[in-house]
Amino acid sequence: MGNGYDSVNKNLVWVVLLVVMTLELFIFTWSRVQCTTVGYALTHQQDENNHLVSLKKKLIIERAHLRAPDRIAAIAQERMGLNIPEQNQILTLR
Amino acid sequence: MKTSYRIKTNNSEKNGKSLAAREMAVAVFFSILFLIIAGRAVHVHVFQGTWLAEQAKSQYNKYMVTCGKRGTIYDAKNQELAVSLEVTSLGAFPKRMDDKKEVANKLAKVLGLNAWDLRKKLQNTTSFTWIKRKISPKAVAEIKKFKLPGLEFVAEHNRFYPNRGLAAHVIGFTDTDGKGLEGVEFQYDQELYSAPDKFLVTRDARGKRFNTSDGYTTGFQGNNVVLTIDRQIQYLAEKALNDAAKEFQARYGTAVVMNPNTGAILAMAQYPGFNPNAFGKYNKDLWRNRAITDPYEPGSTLKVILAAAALEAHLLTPTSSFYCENGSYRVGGNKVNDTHPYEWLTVQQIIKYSSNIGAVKISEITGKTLLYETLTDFGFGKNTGIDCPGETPGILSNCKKWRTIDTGAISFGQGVSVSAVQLLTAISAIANGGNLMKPHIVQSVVAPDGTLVKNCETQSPKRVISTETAEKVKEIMASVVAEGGTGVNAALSKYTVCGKTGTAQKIDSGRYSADKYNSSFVGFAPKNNPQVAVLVILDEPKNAHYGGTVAAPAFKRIIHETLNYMNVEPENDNNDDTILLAQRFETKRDGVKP
Repeated sequence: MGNGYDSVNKNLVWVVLLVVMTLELFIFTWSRVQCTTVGYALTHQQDENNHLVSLKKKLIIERAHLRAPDRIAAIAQERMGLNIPEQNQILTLR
Repeated sequence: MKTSYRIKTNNSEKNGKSLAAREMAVAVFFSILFLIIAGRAVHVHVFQGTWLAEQAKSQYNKYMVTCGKRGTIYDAKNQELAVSLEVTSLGAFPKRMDDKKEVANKLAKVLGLNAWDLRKKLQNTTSFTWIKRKISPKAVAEIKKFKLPGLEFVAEHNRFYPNRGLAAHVIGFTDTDGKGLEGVEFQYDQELYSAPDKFLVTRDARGKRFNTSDGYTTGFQGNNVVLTIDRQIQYLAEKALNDAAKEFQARYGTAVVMNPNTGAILAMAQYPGFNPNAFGKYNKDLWRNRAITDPYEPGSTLKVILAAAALEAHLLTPTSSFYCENGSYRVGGNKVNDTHPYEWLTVQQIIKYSSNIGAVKISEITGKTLLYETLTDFGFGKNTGIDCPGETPGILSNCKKWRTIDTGAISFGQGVSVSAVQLLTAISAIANGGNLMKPHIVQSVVAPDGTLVKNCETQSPKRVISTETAEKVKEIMASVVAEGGTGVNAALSKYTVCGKTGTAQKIDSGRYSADKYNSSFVGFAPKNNPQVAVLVILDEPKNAHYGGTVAAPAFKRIIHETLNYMNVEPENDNNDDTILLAQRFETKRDGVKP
């Protein structure tokens, strides 16, 4: 009986060791895969961020272009019939 | 039976021994194998580990160098005048390409390159090579669709001027590598420039980037430069100048607007202009900022400085009279003429009617030394120190070399050359009560995070005339724009304008030309609290040439629109509607009271 019990215990230790080793292997592999996936995700997010920053800059430039005085003046004069007021057309509010 | 059993037992023992031996052999064989593998593993990891790791790194990691973003140039109201736009450049790692011929053909088609040259380039290069720099977003999208291996899209910057030709001569432009070539871009190149940066690019076995952003941009950039130029005033000045130059078919034109109290340049316009986004398409002659780089003979505008010299030395008063010889006067063997014949004129009238003979007579009182000293005190003959490249000091020879006619000619602005910015700075000194300010075009240099790097506006003004003299000269200049004066076309109804006309003959083939003139008008307003000083110069106008006819209307338009834009309170406001509005407001407020 004693010998049989020892043999079962030994086998159990081996099985547990194997399971632990296998689990360790899986956990290690999983963490490496996760690390790589996060690395790619990070790259993607950085790309996205750069794209948005670049877009923002382009929009700022577009705004500056749209606000250009010659463009505003042309729209005011041609579309709205406005002109820079003459001296006698200016009223001063005190 | 017994024997046979024994025989069987012997066979079984033999078999058992043979199996054990075989097992042992296999075990030993595999043990040796494992030992070899273990030994190799130890060798690779322990003895070759560092070298192999570096080999692997060199395959997966590559350093890329890219330029930082050049700083932005803003106007006084923080509106963008020059910005850097991100563009993509295409590079390649030919080693990673499977079929270089296919890559070359596809890229050549999209980028408009020669396929054969590109293929040769890819075949002859082992490491990184540029395919084409600064390509269009459309081409980038098309190339990305091909999913070709070994291509590298690198972000770079391109300079862009959103207002096109507005203030182009002031701002200047850069070359394709982002180096300033003209204007503020050149003068403040070090501040605007961002040094190249090195980026580590990690790639996996399939060449896919890992932990590195697309284009490797990290947002590092040079400092920003804030100008004193106001985009709106610049536009008003350019529009008025262009219209005047076209009306009188002038060869060139310059208009400068300055804050006389600080020396800050609010606008610096030039005709004809150019678009800095495509500066290569324009004649190089149009690139320079003539208000800074070109000296010209100021003509009668210099009489104001003559008057200041005489009044400051208490040699004369504005009412001192001179006989003006009925329009013709001989000086040192040369004849000086007036446009209209005059007999007796006071100092004020000499300036008002712009009498050359009167100016010569004043210079005879002041003498050449005092005139020279006053001119140098006002900054003529030397650089003003404005922060623009290529400034001319003008031409003012030492008074020891002056002959009698030279003193006479310089008194009415011939025989001396000044730059536009020099003249306006001198007139601004009269406007602000006698302090010569250093003209400047840059307000400050600011770091990308908004912290102040350099304040360019601090300066110590130099007193050149007393406040009393400045006031007397202002009165004289106001009379020029009053009824009967040569500058009446510059008068405004709501502000008192002080100004002076200038009409200078140009030198042509070593002699003063009879039909080529420089027409100018310089002045400021409002008289009692000057906010704006303006100079307009038109070179070789046709049909008319007097400063009062050619330049004064443009001056008037610029100063009127600028004062209006700046909300400067009118001096002479007698508008009934204004009073009515005020009364109505009072009535309404009183009505609410219990």
